[in-house]
Amino acid sequence: MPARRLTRYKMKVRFYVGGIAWIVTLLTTAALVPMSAHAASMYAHGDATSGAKLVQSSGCAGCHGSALHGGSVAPSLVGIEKRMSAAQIAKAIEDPKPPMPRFGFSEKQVADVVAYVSGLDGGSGKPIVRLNPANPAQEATVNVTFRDTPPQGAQIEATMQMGSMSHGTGWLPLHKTSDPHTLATKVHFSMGGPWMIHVKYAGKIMAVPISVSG
Amino acid sequence: MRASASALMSARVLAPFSADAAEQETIDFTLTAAPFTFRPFPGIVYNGLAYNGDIPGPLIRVRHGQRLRARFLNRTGSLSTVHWHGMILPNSMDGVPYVTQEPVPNGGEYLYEFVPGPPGSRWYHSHVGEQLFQGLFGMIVIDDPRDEPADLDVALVFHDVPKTSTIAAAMYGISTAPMVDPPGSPELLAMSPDDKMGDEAAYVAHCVNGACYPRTRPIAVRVGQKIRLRILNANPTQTRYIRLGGHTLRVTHSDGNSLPKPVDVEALRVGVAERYDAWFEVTKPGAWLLQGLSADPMAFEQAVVIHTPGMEHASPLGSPSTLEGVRFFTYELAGAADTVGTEPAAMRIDVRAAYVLGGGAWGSSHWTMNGKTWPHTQKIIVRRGDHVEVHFKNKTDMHHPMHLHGHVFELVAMNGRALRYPLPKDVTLVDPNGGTMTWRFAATSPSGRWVLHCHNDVHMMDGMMTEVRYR
Repeated sequence: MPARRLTRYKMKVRFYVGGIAWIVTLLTTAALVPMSAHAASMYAHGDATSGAKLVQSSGCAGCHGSALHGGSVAPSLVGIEKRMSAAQIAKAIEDPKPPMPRFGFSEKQVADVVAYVSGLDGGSGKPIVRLNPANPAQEATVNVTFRDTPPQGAQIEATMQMGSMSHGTGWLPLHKTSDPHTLATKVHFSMGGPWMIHVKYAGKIMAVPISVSG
Repeated sequence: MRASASALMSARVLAPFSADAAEQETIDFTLTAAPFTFRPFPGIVYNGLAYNGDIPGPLIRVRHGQRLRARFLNRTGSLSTVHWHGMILPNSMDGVPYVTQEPVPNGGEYLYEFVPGPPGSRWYHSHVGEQLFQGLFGMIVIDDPRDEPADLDVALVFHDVPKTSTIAAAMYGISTAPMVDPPGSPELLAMSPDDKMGDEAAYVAHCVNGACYPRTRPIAVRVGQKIRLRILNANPTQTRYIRLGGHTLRVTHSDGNSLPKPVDVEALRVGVAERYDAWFEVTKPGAWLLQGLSADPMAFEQAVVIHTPGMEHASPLGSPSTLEGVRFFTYELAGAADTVGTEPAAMRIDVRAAYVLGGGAWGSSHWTMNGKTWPHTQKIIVRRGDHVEVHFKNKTDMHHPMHLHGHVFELVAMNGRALRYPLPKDVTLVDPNGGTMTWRFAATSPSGRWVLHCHNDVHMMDGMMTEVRYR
């Protein structure tokens, strides 16, 4: 487990060098950079779109709240990559503290979920998707904010899966807004339930699960 | 009148009968229905109704053969009755307003007295208006001395807090409640993209035995124990799928009745008002989550932890909220539908009835049987001893949990296939979009009027009801 190795290593470093601050700084920096890079490379292979589906089907929003912005039982996951390393997020999923359950995910699935939750606020360079209203009933404006200048031809699609069949809006063009980093369009949801917003931009597709209350 | 402490329990783990309780000829108790403020979870405050000040109502337990005498006090502020679901009992005890009794007025009382049976996991609830939505339900277990004893016997009521405004909207066919059935469920597969879901109610919290996870009371088990779970879906409109992390479940009883052949599944499918007895063995230390699966983002609330000693603070093993690739309970599986032909075994049938289930269009407040709504539906008239066959064809796009009072029938065929092992039941889900189902039963219950209706309460209130009437 990279997470456990990392923790043990940090403890060892701190034990041996005690109070010599500059050596600590030197050693931990030297030691942690390759470890973090290792952990990051392991989770860098995670597929955020698969992670989004896992997050939706595992009921994470039940405790972490609508759009994972925090609920009455569990904290927000938005921006989690700024508070925890990828290895720490993975450990929290594989060996969680109750009441969070374990799901018995494979290493690949954990990597997928880490990749997805690490990008909820655009932290991994992906655009941020926000809905207005945040908990839509039948329609919402979908705002997509890019870190840099929005790419040309960005589109979104909202779909709801019904077993093997899915239905949705088809690809909708995103329009400019008063914010130079944000594109938007209005989406109509034909029924309440679990939906997925796909954003297609610069040759990539990103998935964001949402809940429509109907 | 004094309630027997062993017969009326708020705890849901069934303790062995005390000698005192087991020897009593009659179990006496008072059941008071009154307004109740239900708080299953922080932020959820629901002004509902409760029996004896709790949702669900008290778990009632009797030994088979004991007499039950329940003094029902109605303090709800409106009319009410108690229906004893799944019981074969005198017709005047059946609790159907204007059919088997005059409804009990507010402030009034009614004495329900009968010998509960057949044995098994059954339940009781109001049969008036929206009172089942509001919280008037509870479980009753009639011990069967023939049953294999369990090391731990647990009664679990899965229930939900409704969003009140959606009930009336559903009755008028204009609800916009969300679709919450899990991926891979037959309910989801029956939907088409242009469906508007006008007839579904919405729920704001999902509970097990009166609380939401993580506030649900954990169940402590030990390695080597055989655990019997008695599961009731008291939701008035939605099917529940229930799964125990890391375990398969052996289903032995359906609606309290022993299945011809137990079936092992990864998940239960529990239609409205159905009960399933499911067993598992604890083979190693651990903590696992028994949970209702749904696409509702709040579905996670409907869960309870089962753990071995020392694992109280461990993270429980959960399950994803999907049925794709999951072997879940179906009637076809339990009845081995794929091994026999299209027709059930030949036998003498004295009375045949056939119903087309219809209605439910957007904006409509009618759910129909052969085009008619209660009380104008075609009745089934029987003589004592008749063999009766009832056939349904569902032309709507929703499942219908059809329920017959006062009898246990056999589900003998569905969707053009006979079941090798007919299933003894009192409520069955009829598949949508042309699904068919055939029941058979012997008219050997006490004389009277036994209603037959859809147990989706929105559909029942909108007219999907008829009756079996003894001459």
